[in-house]
Amino acid sequence: MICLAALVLLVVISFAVGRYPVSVSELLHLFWSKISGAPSGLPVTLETVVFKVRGPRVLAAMIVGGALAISGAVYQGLFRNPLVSPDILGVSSGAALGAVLGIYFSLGIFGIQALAFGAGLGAVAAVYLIGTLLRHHDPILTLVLAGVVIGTLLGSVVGLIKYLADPYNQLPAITFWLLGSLTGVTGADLWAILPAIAVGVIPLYLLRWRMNVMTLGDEEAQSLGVDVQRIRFVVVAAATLMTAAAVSVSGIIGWIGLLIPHFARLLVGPDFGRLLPAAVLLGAGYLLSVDTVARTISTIEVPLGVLTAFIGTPFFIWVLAVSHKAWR
Amino acid sequence: MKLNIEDLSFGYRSHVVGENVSFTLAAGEVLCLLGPNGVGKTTLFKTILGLIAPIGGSILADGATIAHWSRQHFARLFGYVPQAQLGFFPFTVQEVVLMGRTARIGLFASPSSIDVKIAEQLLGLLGIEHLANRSYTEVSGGERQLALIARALAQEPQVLVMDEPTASLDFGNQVRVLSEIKKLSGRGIAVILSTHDPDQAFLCAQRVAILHRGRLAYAGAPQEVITPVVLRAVYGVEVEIAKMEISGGEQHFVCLPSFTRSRPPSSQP
Repeated sequence: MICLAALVLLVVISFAVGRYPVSVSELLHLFWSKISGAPSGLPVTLETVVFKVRGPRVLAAMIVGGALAISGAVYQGLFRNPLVSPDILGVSSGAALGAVLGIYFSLGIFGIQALAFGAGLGAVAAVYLIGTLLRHHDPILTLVLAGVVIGTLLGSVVGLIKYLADPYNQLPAITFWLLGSLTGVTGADLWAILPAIAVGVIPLYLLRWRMNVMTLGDEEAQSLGVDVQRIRFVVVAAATLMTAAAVSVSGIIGWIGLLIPHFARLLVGPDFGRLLPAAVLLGAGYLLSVDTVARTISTIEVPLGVLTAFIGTPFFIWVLAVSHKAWR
Repeated sequence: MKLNIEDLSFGYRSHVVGENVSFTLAAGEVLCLLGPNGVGKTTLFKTILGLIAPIGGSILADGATIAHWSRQHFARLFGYVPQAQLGFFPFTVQEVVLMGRTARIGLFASPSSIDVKIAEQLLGLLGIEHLANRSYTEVSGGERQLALIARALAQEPQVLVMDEPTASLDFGNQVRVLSEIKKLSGRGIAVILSTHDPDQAFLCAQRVAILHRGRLAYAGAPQEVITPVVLRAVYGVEVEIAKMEISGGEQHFVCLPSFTRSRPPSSQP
C-alpha cells in the first residue's frame, strides 16, 4: 500500500517537473478535462507536454522498470543465484546487436526497435537450444554458461559494428542506445510493447507457486510434482519476452533487474505471490525516479544506464550489508 | 499400493552404481536400507522416485510400470524426504511444508486455507509448530529435517522414501521420527528409509536390506539380516547382537560394537 501511494506521488512529481514545469492544480485540471471531456482552458502547449511528451515517457519508465524487475526476480529464483539479472541468457546482448545493426543500416526507429526485439529473443533461443543439446551437464549451469558465452560473442560483434560505424552520425546514436534512454518515447511505442509484456507477465503470475517450488532445485521440485523442464521453458520464454520488449524501447538499462528483486525480497519475502507485485511497484518507481532525475538534473539528458549504475552501486552495497537474510 | 522392484540396475549413464536389485514393498511395510557410505543408497532412492532413469529392470506399482508417470502422479503416491540441504531463499518453515501440497493443487493455483490447515496439523504432529513462521534457512539442521518430513507427509503419499531421516537429529527427535514412522506404517503407508544405525532397523522395520558392492547383498527380517557375520562382511567391524527383555516382557535386539577386534573394511577378502 505504501509502495503504491509512493508510486502515485512519484507519477505526479515526474509529470510536474521538467523544462516546462506544470503545477499540480494544472495537472488535475488537465486530467479532469480529459475524463469529463470539458475544455480545460489551459494553454495547448501545456496539454501537449503532459499528454504527448511526459505521459508516454512516465508510462514507459514504469512499464520498463516493472518488466525488468519482474524478469530479474524470476531469473534469480529460477537459477537460484542472487547475482543473476534478466540479461543472463543474452537477451540484452542480442537486443543490443539488433539495435546497433538497425542504426548501422539506417533503419527507422521502428525498424531499430523491431530488430532489437527480434535479436533479443533470438539470442535467448540460441542459448536455450545449446542448453538443451548439451544434456549430460547440470541444465542450469549449462544455460548460464551458454548465456555468458553467447553474450560475449554478441558483444564483440557490437564492438565490430561500432568500429565500422560512421563516427559522426551513427556512433553517437549507437552509444546513446547502449546507455539507455527514454527520450522520445511515443504512445505508439507503448502500444507496440504492451502486448508482449502482458503475454509475459500473465504466465509468470499464474505459475507463482510452481516457481516457489522450483527454487528448491530440480530434483526436489520434481519429487514434489513439478514438471521442471516445461515450467522452466515457459518462465524463460515469458521473462525473455518482457525483457526484450522493454529493452527494445529503452535501450540497455542495467541494475534494475539485479537490484530491485533483492530489495523487494527484503520487504515481502521470497514468495512469488507477494514478490512479483512488490518488484513491479519498486521497479516502476525506481526507473520513474531515475528517469525524472535524468531529464531534469542538467540541460543535457543524462543516459539512464549511467544514472542507474551511479545510484545502483551504493544502493546495492547497502542492500548487501543489511540483507543477509534475503539469500543463503 | 504394492511396490515391485525387479532386477533393477541404476546409476548415471555409463557408470553403473548398482544392479540386480529386486525387492517388494507392501502397504504398511517398513523397509530399512543399510549400507556403507557411498554405496549408492541415495542413487537407488532417486531411481525409484523416477528422478534418474533406471539403466535396466523395472519398477512396478500394483503390477503396472511407473516409467511413464507424470511428475504430479509420482508426487501424489511417493513422498520423498531428501537429506536436508540449506534452503536458498528464506521461505518460512510453513511455506516449505506447504510446498508438499504442490501436486495436490492446480497448475496455476496457490495453496488454499485447507492446505494451510493441513500444513499446520503436520507441523504440530512433528512438534515444530512453534517454527511455522521462522525462516527455513535459519532453523537448525534437525529442525529442517523435521520440516522436510512434514513436507513429504503433506503430499499424502502411499510410499514414503526417506534418505537418512535421522541423520542430523538429536536423540529425542530421532525417537520421535522413528515412532512417527511406526505410526505411518500403521496407517498403511509403506516406508523405505536408509540409515547408518542397525539399531533403528530393529526399532522400526519389518524388513532390512543391505546394499553392498552394488548389490542387495542381504534382505530379510531384521534379526535374520543384522548378524555379526553380515556386519563384519559389510562394514568390517566386529559386533555382538544382544537380546534384551524390556518392560512388558517384549524381546528386543541391540547391536553392540566390539572395539578391540574391528578392522578397516578395505582388508576384506
